[in-house]
Amino acid sequence: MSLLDIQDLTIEAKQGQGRQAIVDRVSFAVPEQNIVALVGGSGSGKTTTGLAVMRLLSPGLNIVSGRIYFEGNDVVAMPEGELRRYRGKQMAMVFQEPLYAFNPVFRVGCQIEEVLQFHTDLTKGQRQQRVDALLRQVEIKDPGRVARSYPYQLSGGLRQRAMLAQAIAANPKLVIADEPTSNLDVTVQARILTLFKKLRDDLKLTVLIITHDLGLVRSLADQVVVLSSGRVVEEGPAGEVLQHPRHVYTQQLLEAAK
Amino acid sequence: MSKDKHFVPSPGGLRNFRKNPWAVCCLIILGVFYAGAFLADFVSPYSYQNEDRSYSYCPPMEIQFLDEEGRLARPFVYGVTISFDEFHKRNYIIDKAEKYPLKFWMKGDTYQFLGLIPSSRHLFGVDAPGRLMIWGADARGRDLFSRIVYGGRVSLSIGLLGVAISFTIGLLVGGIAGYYGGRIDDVLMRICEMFMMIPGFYLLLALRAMVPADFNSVQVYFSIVVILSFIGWASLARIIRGMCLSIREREFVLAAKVMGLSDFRIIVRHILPHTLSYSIIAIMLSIPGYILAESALSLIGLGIQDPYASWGNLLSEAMGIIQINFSPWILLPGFFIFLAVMCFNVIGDALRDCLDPHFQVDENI
Ligand SMILES: Nc1ncnc2c1ncn2[C@@H]1O[C@H](COP(=O)(O)OP(=O)(O)OP(=O)(O)O)[C@@H](O)[C@H]1O
Ligand SMILES: [Mg+2]
Repeated sequence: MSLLDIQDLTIEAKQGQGRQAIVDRVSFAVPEQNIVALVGGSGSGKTTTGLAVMRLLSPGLNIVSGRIYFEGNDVVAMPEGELRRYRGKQMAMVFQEPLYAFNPVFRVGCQIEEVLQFHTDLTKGQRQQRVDALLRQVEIKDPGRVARSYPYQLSGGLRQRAMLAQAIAANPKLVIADEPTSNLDVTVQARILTLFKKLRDDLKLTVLIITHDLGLVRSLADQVVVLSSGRVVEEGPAGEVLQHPRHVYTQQLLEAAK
Repeated sequence: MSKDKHFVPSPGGLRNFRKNPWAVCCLIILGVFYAGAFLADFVSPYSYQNEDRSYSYCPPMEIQFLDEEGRLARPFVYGVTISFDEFHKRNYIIDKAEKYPLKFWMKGDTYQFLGLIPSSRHLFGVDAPGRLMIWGADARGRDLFSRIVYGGRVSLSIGLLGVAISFTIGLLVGGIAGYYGGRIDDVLMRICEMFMMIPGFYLLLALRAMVPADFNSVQVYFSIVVILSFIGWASLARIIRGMCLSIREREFVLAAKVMGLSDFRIIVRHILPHTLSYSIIAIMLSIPGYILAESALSLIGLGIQDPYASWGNLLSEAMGIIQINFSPWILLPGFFIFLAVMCFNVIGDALRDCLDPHFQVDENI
């Protein structure tokens, strides 16, 4: 069974009098311990889909139909109180620019610890050890310094790693990564992507990675879902889709990535 | 990638504060005031209740450093004798025969420091039967200096306590309204507006009227604190709410939600800290309002009651033109109110200059 199973998801935005479908009858599945890439151009509804899984759409957006099964439970129908038990603990999300995703006024370590404080019963000392271990797990060499730093003091790559450490702090099963490498240079990108693979293997993590870069997916993803204007135009095993793209849009994307 | 502009108060900003000599001066003055108020029992030569009717409206005594021959001597004060002229007006005549040397760390009225540690040590004073009244005496012959020091306890602490309470309420209400928006926001903001509509001083009087008459002094003190904080929170809540409306759109709030943190935690830990530099300045600039409001209440006799002292009720003795005319020193408490209020304002302004140049405070009390 898939960890995440999205069926016929339609998300609409209110626009003046009318409504506009941002995500249109999207269906795809994310099998356990797979890395699935959700690919598409700007404005194709990738982030919206990702946030819908966390049920954290911005107020203007509504899920009008469809189901999102997480371990067989429908997230769409879940009451707010129950959702809280999922967020952070079962599924987490990392963002494109951790500079903004971290609170600028607190130290990075403090913010990772906060997640632990909220979701686990660890004592203060244990939490600090765990922060250290988490930072090591995302291959940060001097966890002490990083933990004591404010977000703006870290380089983009370190910040993204720290963000990832925060995301996996409470042992979630699913991590949604929204363009985690778009703001990084190519070499750092490659290393972060290997890190995702490593974490998937070490922690039995399932990753839904959102990107507009098909080339990047090549080395990483098991499955690819191509989204265009809120619709799934193509999906399948990564190798297959990349070798023999059937849809014009995918071909264009591939063309652009060359 | 530009750096986020909503940073914590930058250390550079606070360094500018040190460069502002007025602000530093005011900070020192306030420091002395608060230290004096805290150690009031010790600093004042007499207890606030210690009265001697024969010294009624005794003028300030001069501390002498030179003896009759003009040589430097141990500081002392002359005794005073009272005589009445044909109009029954008191005359205080310096009696050079009696000399009372100034003593430090001396034994005097007993007190319980902070209600815990019994002691009778005083910073300075003179031995009985002499009396030391460096700033004169009030109608009942109580040392004005001692009463001002004790009064500072009430007047200065009421400002802090009032601000603490009203800012807690204001920040929470503003934070909740701004974070949730929608109906909750509407309801809370209408309530705020109701409070802001009523002119502060009338609300103050109305609320004071609701306080039972048989309250003891401590209860009166706290009811005044509560009443004062009742008035100040609404305008703050509105401003904080506006700030939260924009802060909640920032990505780290979404990230905090993604991590499953509770709304309360997100408001308190992630959103409100971003209003910090505003809040600090607003706190500094609104403390004077509380000090003045307490003074006003006490001045018209609705605040702290005799024999307890506050700067406001000390000043209420100076309401008659005759007293001011014949014993102008009883205006001194007013000078302290002025000084404290001015210091808070100067510090608030200086903080504003170095923390937030685009700041406007709504001083509504
Ligand atoms: N709150 C909202 N109200 C109305 N429309 C919205 C809202 N949020 C997003 N949209 C619209 O939904 C569409 C999809 O947005 P989304 O952020 O999901 O795209 P994306 O695929 O993540 O793009 P990008 O690669 O630029 O991040 C966009 O056209 C956007 O304008
Ligand atoms: Mg996006």
